[in-house]
Amino acid sequence: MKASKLIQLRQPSWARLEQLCDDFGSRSSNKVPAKMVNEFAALYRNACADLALAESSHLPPNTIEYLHQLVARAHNQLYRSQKFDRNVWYERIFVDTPKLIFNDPYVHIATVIFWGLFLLAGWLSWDNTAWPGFAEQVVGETHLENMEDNFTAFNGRTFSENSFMFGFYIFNNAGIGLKCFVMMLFVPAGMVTLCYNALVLGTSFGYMFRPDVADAGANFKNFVTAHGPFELTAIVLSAGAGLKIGLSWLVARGVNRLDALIQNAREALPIAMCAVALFCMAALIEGFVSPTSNAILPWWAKGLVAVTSSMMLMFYLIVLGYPRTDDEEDDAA
Amino acid sequence: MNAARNKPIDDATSQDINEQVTDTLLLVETPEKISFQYQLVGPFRRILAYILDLLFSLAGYTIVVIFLAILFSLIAGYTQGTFIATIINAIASLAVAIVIIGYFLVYWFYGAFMETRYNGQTLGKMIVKFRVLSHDGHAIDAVQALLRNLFRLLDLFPLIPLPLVGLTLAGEGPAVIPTGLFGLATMALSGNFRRIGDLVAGTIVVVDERKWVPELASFTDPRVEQLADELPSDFSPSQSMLKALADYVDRRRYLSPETNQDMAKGLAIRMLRKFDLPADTDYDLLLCAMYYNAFMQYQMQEGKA
Repeated sequence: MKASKLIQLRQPSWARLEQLCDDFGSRSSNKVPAKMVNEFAALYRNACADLALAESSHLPPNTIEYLHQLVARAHNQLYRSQKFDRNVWYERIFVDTPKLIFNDPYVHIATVIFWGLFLLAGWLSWDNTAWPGFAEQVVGETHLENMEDNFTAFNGRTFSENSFMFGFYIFNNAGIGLKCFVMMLFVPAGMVTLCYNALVLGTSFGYMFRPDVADAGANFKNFVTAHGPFELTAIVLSAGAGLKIGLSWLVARGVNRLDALIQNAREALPIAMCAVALFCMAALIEGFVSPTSNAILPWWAKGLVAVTSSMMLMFYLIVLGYPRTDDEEDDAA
Repeated sequence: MNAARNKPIDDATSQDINEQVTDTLLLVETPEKISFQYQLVGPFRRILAYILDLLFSLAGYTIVVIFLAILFSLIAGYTQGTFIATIINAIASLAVAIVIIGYFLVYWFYGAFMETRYNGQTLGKMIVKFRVLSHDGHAIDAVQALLRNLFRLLDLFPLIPLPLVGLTLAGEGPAVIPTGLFGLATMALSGNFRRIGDLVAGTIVVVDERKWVPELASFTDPRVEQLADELPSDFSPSQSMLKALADYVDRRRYLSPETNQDMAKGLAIRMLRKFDLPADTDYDLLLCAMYYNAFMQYQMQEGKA
């Protein structure tokens, strides 16, 4: 067959395929009529065959280039992005993610670093004899005074203030969590963020629990108790997830570095998303429960909230996350 | 001796690979066992799409919020004292939280949502006409879309503080502008124009548009056909000569006749000698005639590349 004849003959079906690609555009796949899908598939197979023919016979390069681009375009329509369905969601959230977190060595490392520094800074700042003036040196005197003044004057908020703060906490805290996760790709930068947060938080806690700041201390205790468990866990999780990505390409364990990075990033993302969810729950408590004054919600009630949330976390991370024997059997089979 | 025997093979394979590497093209093999090329998108077109996306997501969100605020306050005004008004008042006290949370979602998750929902495209990418794909040519999934959009934060580094703005907004913290140099550097070094987010998620960005309809050139000059008949019919041009002919004929109409003569000269002089044609034959005409023969007159040949 002549090249010109072939092109003339096939051009209508190429044009039709182009048109179908345009029509499908970004419509979701279940809204496209079945008849069109069938037609599309047939046209796509033909275009693939034409491309193979064009490459093996002598067709003008611009036709070959056109066919490459047409097949690529149709390919993108045929193999579309998968959406989550509900069962997959359930499985992801309540089965896979807890196990992932429980078994992840990087989360363990982040936990040890964060809690270690937090407790150390807290003790040094509270005790004030082993390292006199530790708190002032770490966060600065003005910051400490401001914090003390704020908490001494603190006496509940109105509902609309609460709702504003609720939104702000989500935006700010979950944003910081995500930033920490992303920054950890460069491990030193992420580590500085993590250690800085652990030290400052620990120092503030230790300072506010000192006996000589009793007024502010009581309000502070009243404020932080309820949302503490969720928020501190969320920080650890986002740092752990980030650390997993950051170290994956340094400690590739025999895999191509880029592949190791991609693989670990896939596993780390659910952990980071779990951290975001925890930040949001913490924000809900921090926005509406924590700022209520002592008269409305006494301290023990907030302690109850903290205990309940800790129990929930433990159930999620340990009970759901503990590796079962039937998993190993599944793996073996 | 083994080494000597292996050497030519090595050369051949490395040559094959070299032939395929053009750094703006990516070869993908489909399940149908066809390999086709994607055209990759460079950094500057992608910046354009990113700016459009910023505009759509943030400005769009602000407009929607303002519109809803006006709508709700109008409804509240008309229905004062009724049950609907109390509901609206309840919503209003939560409104700030809803607005901020919405902003948080748009800021962090707009790109990921759009790319998952619309098969690798955001609004900006639809306009600039490209699409995100997994590096093996498949569609991206939600995890990849999320990762590549979260890690954009790093691509925008380093942040340069704006000292003057920092002074005027005293207490608000230093204002910074993202320079995007990390992303640019990674794109230049990583191959396939992948920024940090693309490396982490394992994705590429390719052109997704229709460009032209392939047509063979048509010749209005009758002398082309006459000359084509005079050429020896047993001559079959090699693959690379065909490519050169097709490229030449494609482009000759954009150039002046003098330039065409100049460009055709190199090949035409050798061909004239080979075909024993008079040396004053028009060079441009000769190449057109060869093109005519190869693509429009004779049967296609199953070629060896």
